[in-house]
Amino acid sequence: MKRLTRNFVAICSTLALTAGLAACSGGSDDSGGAGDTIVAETAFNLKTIDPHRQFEFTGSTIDNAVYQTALEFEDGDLTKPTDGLCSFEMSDDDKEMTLTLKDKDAKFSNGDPVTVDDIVFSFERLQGIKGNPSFFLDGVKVKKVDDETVKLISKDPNPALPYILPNASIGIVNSKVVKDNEGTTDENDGAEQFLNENSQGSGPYKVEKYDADSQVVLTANEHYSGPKPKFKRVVLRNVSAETQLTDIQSGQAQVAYDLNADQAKQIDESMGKISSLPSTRSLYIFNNTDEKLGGPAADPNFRKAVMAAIDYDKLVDLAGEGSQRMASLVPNEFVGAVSKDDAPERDLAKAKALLKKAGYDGEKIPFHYPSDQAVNGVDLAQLAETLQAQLKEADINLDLKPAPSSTQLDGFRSAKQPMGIGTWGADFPDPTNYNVFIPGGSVAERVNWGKDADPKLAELAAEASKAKDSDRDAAYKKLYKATTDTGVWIPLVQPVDTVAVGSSIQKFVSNADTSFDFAKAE
Amino acid sequence: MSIGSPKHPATGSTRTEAATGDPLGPVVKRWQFRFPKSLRTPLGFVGAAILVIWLILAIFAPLVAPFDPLAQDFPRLTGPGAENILGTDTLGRDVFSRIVVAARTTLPAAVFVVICSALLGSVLGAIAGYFGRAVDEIIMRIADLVFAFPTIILAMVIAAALGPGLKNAIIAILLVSWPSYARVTRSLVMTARSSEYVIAGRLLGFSAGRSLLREIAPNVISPVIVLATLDVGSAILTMAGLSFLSLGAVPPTPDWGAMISEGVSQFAAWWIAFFPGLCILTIVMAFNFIGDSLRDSLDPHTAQEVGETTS
Repeated sequence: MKRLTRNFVAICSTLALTAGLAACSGGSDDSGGAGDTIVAETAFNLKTIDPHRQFEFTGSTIDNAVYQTALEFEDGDLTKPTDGLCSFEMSDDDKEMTLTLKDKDAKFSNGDPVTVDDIVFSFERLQGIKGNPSFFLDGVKVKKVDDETVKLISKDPNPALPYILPNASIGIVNSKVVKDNEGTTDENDGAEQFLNENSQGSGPYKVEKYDADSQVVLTANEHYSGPKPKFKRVVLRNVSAETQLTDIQSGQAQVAYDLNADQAKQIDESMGKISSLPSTRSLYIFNNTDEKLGGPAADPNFRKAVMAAIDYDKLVDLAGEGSQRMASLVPNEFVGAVSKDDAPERDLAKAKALLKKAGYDGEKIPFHYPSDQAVNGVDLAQLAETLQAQLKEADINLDLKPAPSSTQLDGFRSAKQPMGIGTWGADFPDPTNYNVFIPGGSVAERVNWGKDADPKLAELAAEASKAKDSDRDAAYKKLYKATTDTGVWIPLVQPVDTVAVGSSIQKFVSNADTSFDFAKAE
Repeated sequence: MSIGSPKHPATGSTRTEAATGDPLGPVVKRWQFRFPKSLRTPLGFVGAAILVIWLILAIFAPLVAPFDPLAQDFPRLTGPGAENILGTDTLGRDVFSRIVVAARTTLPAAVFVVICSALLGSVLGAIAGYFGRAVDEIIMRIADLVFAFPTIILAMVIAAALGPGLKNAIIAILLVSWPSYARVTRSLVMTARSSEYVIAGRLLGFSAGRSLLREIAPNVISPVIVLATLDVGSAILTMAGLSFLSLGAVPPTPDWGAMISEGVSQFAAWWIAFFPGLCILTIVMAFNFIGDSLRDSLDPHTAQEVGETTS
């Protein structure tokens, strides 16, 4: 009898303890996203949310919801910059942009109205603090004309400026409050910590809690001049992709940013929807043009053979549904992108003939890639293995050289790697962002492709830089088509940006500019 | 522990046995490991059986593997079925073929690394223990330095510094695993050094080398062998850990740790990580079972008990 009683007490205690623990774990009001809260999950790549310093995906996601920008993209179409807080006009020579304050009802989260002074301060702070995104306004002089107008004057023609200004890093902050909290427009600026904890934007949300390691909580900005968001609270949590999948499936989260194509396939309609957006990142093979360093890769015939030996359809399959072929490094949705119909095709016979011409006899070529990196769910290690197997069919022998991304990048920057996988994420959706790949550009230098290496490309680049408005598209297409034809960069695939949205959200806006618009979700 | 109870170099018997047995009976045998007896324990049998199966699989891998482990010929992420009995991975390669072929690199590499670290550690430990003083201090402080770091972390640092690759992974494991052998050997040598038969040899003018090799070595080798057998398991685990972190065998070489790493991002395709995990589990268990049995057999105290229960 005693033993029975003891067992009974033990069982009761265990149950009570379990119930207690369950109650504790369920106590967080962040879980589940009940009522007016959205729980969004991503693997954090977050250093700061000071708009003028942040240059990472997570920081941009948050700042997109917190700060407004002078210009925006029309319905997320990256080829159509349109009015944001300001309307704009470019001078004929593309050297002067006039911004006129348009949204006069816009108010910061403390109720202060947005003024031209705030816009001028924000631009100057971005330039002056010399943070990662400061280059956006390099060579641009900011000049206040009157209380409604500001001019951006560039030394050289700057047709990319309308495509640059919608970036979340050029968010407009409340100058008065930021200045009161050690904010300056030079390197002495000390407002980063303040802005991390007390956002000063006029967007639909403001920051309630900031923890760069675990989660960031946003609440609605009651002074926001646009339509009031239905979800008053956004909890952005730092969670790995595998957990994001289970959380979306179980309804614990409403938005997941990092699912790869295979994981996205596991979400059926009862669990949620998948929004597949073209990524603004490009995956490519680089070939060193220096004969001593590049070996066979320096030979144009060899490079073209590699281009003809790749099975691009399989790469698209690996990158998942929605990913696309590329005919140049410029993503298909951008001005100046070469049509994907012109993308290289697999032709093993041609590859073998070219190899013969190049005098390649099967020697191993070191092929470098970051082994710990995935781009929009495309694991670069798997991509390298796939390429190795495909090129082997054409008797090209790659010697895989994996390395952690920082090590690999150092090697690439030192211009000593003969071949490898490179990635490029657009800083802004304009073809000028890809000038770094033409001879003499900063990335071209990493494959020893100097300024005078290709006079024809130099000529095309000069023509493209002079082209205006609708002529730019054709001029840049020509330039980048010719660049691809050299085989120095072999465009592989444009991956897909996947956002999984839980079934509790009925309506949402998801586009190439803003992967998921919290303010417009219903 | 009485694992290291010294045996008389001439008789191979332990002191206790020498005291109770016939003191005059000359036993010529030096190396008396009683290995077969250790296999008579149930765990020893199981361990040996698993190991033999793995050895056969590894040796005959090209015949056993139904497909080319590198060929990306199948639909991606197909579950276990008639064609691919253990399914396919993210690149459409046959998981079973990859597992079998991976054994060919993992097993020899693990055994090799353990033999090397046992040799290196034992030699250094014997020198430290025999000569003592400054030599002992220097060697053992270096060993302490290595011991101060968690094994896998230190191995990671070394492998990361040398670059990924099987060769570098072996060097990394070797560098972190020798101190345990040095420590064990040193303490055994220190005990043996003061034994009468060693002192007698020294008085007869034997050199240090002869003394170490012919008189001390037979008495200290048994525990080192036990330690080495048990260590093969941990070497396999460390190697899998390094491969998991992309610091082991370079792709596309099949490797269990790398396969598990691939499976981590594919929870739904459980077979990618499960089967290589099972391989590591079985092989590590096999070595542990054999190691345990060897220890029981070579340790005079437990050997007696084992002998009683098995006879």
